[in-house]
Amino acid sequence: MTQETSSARRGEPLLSVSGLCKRYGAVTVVSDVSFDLAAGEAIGVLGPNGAGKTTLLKMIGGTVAANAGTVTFQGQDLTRLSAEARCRAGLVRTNQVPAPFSLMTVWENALVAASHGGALSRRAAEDRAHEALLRTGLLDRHHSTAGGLSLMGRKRLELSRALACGPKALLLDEIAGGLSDYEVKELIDLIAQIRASGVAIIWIEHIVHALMSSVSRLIALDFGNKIADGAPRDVIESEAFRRAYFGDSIATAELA
Amino acid sequence: MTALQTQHRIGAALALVTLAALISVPYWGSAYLQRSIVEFLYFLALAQIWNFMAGYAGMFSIGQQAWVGVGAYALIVLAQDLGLNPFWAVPLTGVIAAVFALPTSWLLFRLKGAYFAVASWVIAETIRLAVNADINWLGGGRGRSLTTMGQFERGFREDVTYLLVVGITILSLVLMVWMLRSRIGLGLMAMRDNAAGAGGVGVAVNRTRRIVYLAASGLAGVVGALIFMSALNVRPDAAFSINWVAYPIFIVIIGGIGTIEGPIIGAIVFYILREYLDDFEAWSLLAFGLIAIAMMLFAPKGIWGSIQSRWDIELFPIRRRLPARFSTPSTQET
Ligand SMILES: Nc1ncnc2c1ncn2[C@@H]1O[C@H](COP(=O)(O)OP(=O)(O)OP(=O)(O)O)[C@@H](O)[C@H]1O
Ligand SMILES: [Mg+2]
Repeated sequence: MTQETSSARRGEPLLSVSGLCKRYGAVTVVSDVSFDLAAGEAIGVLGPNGAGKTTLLKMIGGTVAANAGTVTFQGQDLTRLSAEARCRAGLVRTNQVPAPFSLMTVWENALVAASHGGALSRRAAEDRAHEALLRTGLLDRHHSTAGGLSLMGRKRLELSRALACGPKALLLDEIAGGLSDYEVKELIDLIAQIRASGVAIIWIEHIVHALMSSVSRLIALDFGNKIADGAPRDVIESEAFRRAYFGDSIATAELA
Repeated sequence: MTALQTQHRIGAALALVTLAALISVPYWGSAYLQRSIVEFLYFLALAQIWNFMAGYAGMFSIGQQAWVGVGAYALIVLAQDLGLNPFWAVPLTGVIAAVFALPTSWLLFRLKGAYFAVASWVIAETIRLAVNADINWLGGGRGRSLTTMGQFERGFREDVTYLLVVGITILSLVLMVWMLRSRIGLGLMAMRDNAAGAGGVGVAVNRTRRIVYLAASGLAGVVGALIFMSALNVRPDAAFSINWVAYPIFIVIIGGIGTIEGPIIGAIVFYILREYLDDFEAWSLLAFGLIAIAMMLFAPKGIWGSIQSRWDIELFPIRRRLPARFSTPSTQET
């Protein structure tokens, strides 16, 4: 039914974030951030450490309650809904710090996501979990206990679980950290495949070149403010972005 | 694969043999044996129920005695005051306990961790004090007797009670295995490992918790009714005794939290220990406490958890595995 509504509302964004704010005590961590995500679109999010990227993604995903602002998904206001309800609606987030179900196997981890997030019956859930693990390359480790995976394995498990939920929009929080060049290339291919299957993506990543080759649009955050939003090149070359990263030698070196 | 199937067969065979032995006890066992088994089983049932709440759904209640007591008093009211057949009243006591538990869940579910635990105990104490203060209807501190049981001949009464206790233990076990194998069970195990993460993949954490809480309270109520059906007399101090939750916690910690097999092993250990420690009365509680603390420090997974982390053993088929239809040469293992 929601799919019908969404196709009926062609032209409207899949996800619309408006005026999101988050304060912890006197500190404003995210300040009045708004943007739209079109169906099938991929947006990269950049910003120095502590800029508020994760907090923004958590507010969109529903694990952190916003102090102000709204999150609209497929024309429906989700601002008051829990993370679990948003996940079942197709808005799925991966954790920057992986949250594996440690005592369960890799297979069971994917199966939980498929049967709950995907709201699938037993056999369909198994098919979906299998497909997700196949795509992320974790299928060989289906029998391993999730708690025993390396950090990279756990990050891949985060992605597998998110895929098994059958998302319409995927919120990715630093899934490439610690990967080798070759693995980053594999990940870029995977993201391209996911996009090609019609899933919209918001991807926080510090590895700029990975973002540049995967997304059609970049948003830059600094001290909780959106300081740039547009075509990747334009954002990277913008005055505001360069100022935010001033003194950050890695970023400037990479940009040069 | 085959090793696992063998384990499940062993598990099923053990369960069937035990069940057959238990059911036949009234035909060959002494009354003393029968009473010992009853006592063993209601501690096992209470331990399984507590394990289900704490081990899977992350609700560390220390107030389960509230529902044991409510179940016991519900039996009194249904059988003594309303004249129901006490045996047929037993399932109703579970419903009543669950109905009483519902409003407490509205309060408790706002709290987490230690606050949840303390509040659950406060609720139990409040109910005990309320029953204690009442003078006429529930008999106040002196309690009431289940004189209506006198209509049955003693042997018959004990046999039926015995079979009901066996039944409720098996029922709670079957219910748990069935639930854990279902979609809810996958969600529960995920919640056990990481509640926030479970919400992130669509598990309805709060709804699942409420289902478990109400089921656990209802089952505890039935156990309470059965305990006092054999005791024939209900007093607030006995019905709402902290022992109804303290011993089950001990059993679960010793045996292994978050597993089905653990509480069974824990209950056996508990029962043997109690036979020896009973002579020391008050000291026995201290000893149980020290043993539990030692266990938490040195083997936090309990006996069964420690066995399981060394060998890949499972007697009840709960875990889910990659179905054979997906097995390709590259993914085949062991
Ligand atoms: N629960 C919290 N309580 C108080 N402050 C918080 C909380 N969560 C985050 N913060 C603060 O909010 C700011 C933004 O944090 P956030 O994790 O969103 O940054 P980020 O852009 O994702 O950083 P990184 O690149 O390091 O992941 C940080 O200064 C952080 O210390
Ligand atoms: Mg972050």
